Amino acid sequence: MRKINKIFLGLIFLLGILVFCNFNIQETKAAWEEYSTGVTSYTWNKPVKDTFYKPGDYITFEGEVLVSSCFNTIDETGEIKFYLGTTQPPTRPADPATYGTYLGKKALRKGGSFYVDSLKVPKDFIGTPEGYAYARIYFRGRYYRTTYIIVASERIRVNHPPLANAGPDKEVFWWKSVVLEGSGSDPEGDPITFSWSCSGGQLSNSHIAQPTYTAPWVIRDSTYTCTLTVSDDKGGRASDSMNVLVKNNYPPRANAGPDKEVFWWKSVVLEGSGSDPEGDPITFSWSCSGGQLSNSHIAQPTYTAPWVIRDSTYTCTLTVSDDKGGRASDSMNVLVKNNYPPRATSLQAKLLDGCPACHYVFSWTFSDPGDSQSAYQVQVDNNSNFSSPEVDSKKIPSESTSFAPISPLSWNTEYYWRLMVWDSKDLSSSWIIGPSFTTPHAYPEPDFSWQPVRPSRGEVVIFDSGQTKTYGGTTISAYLWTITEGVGEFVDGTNNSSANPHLKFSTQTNKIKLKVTDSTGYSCESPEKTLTATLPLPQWKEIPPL
Amino acid sequence: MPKKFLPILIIIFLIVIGAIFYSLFKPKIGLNEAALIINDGQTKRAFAGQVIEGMTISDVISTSAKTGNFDFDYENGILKRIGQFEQNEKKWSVFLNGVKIEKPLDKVFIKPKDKIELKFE
Repeated sequence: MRKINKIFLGLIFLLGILVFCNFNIQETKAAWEEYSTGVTSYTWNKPVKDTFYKPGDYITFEGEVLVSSCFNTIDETGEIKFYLGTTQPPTRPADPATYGTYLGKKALRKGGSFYVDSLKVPKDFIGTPEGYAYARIYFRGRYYRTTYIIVASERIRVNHPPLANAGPDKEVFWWKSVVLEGSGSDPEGDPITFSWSCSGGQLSNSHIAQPTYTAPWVIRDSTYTCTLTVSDDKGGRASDSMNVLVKNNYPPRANAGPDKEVFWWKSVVLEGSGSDPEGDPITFSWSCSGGQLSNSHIAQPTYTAPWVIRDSTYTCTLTVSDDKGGRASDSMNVLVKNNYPPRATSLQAKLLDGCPACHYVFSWTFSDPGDSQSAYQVQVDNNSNFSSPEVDSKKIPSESTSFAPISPLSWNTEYYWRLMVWDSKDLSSSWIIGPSFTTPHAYPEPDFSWQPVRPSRGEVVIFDSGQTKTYGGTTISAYLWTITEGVGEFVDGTNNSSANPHLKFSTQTNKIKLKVTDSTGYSCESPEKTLTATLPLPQWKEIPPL
Repeated sequence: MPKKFLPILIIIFLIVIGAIFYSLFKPKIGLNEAALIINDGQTKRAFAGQVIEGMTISDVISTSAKTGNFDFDYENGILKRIGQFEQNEKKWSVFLNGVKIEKPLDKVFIKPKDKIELKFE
């Protein structure tokens, strides 16, 4: 029995040694992580810590795994597996696949050396949000059937490169611009930058996705390649290219015309012109350093000079463009001369004649030191806004300072009138308002007749002024008969101030006129009338027709 | 005398008789007289009378109007109307001894034996 106990205790001791030796795999290399027990040596050319890998890169594992026990290097066979993971697994996972992406495996035989060079980072592998991943080697041997041991673990960085799209090809005429439609993105949402480069032409900004490309001058149609490179902040980059076909175009010709001189506030027509050697449609664009243009997009606009204190020169530039982006410019100068506008004072409206219609005369005093009047315009209206002038002289080239309209005004009406004058440099004043006035009631209209109509000389002729008309409720206060030709004698107690005088004429041809004055003092004279006084004629007899 | 000449003699006789009657009843204008004929296109009227010094065609018309009891319009030496015949499409033309007068009628003096004709044509 004692012998059996000794044998039993010996077995227990041996078993203890075996268990101790098999569960205490030596850690032989300090660089390995703490779980890399049993591996006597291990190297891999990659990863270097924090080195970026992109999907598709190969990680080459090379090294030796030596599993040892306390007795010796055991004839440990098994396999090692390679994983990429983003989480920290337990030191002895039952299934490494739970904690990473499987890359490959290698059988490990006695001696433990291995070499693996075709383990590719999967394209769909995504690292941690910070871009980290862990490359791990697991070992499972004869004594570790149910668990794996992490042999080595190194942190690497995995970065997916951005995507670059240079956009569609473009066509553009030389000197013309076009926007390139580049774009880019990053699968991981990393910040990206753009960089364009072109084999010709100019970019407005080579560091934006969609820069404006300005075509160079070309003799013939030419194609230039533009490449867009998109980079992320982890060193990933991608490129794409597109082509720009630059078409040839000859620029148009521009001629701004001769220089001009003009007084301020006056206008002058600019004599610009343009053409295109290829007959392309052209457009015009004027710009001036001062003054105003009637239309800046025609060849010959009207330039209106600005106000100037002294003579000043302004430059006007004509740019002619064709529809292919070609353009040409030419400039001319406009000398704007100083000149102050004229004025008019002492405006007066005066009744010129009331017989037979209401005729007024308008007068003024021209005022412009050192200058003289060259023209004037008068408007008369019964509306103060001059919306429909009854009299509009239009612009009359004249130095006269009075104007008598041909057409009469209406009687008994309030009128407004205004005046504009021009100086010798054709600079006008503004409208100058004259004092309003009211026309009087109509003047009398004298008229008369006589009996007998064909008197003989020496025969009494009775005149009748009863056809005379008066207006405004007036009456005739005075008559004045005048014999302007011939000889007549007032008889029967009448005289030249009688309303209905009696006369005897001793001449054959006699001319008489009548002037009347109404009770308001307005006078008018009638036109002359001719009275023929025949001789005392012999009495003829009627005879049978000859 | 052969009978065949008898008709010829009768014709000659009648002509002679007619000429004698015409000379007896023909309107006569005195030595110091002139005549006015008014022809309105439908009827003719004639007037005759003494010519005094300074007498014009317009005087002739005036004195004839009194005798003939017609009125007329006369402006600026031009005859505009006689009776109902007022110039419109037709006008009054004045002839002195067959010569058309264009001057004002009060400037054309007449003399004895003149023949003034007013035609509405």
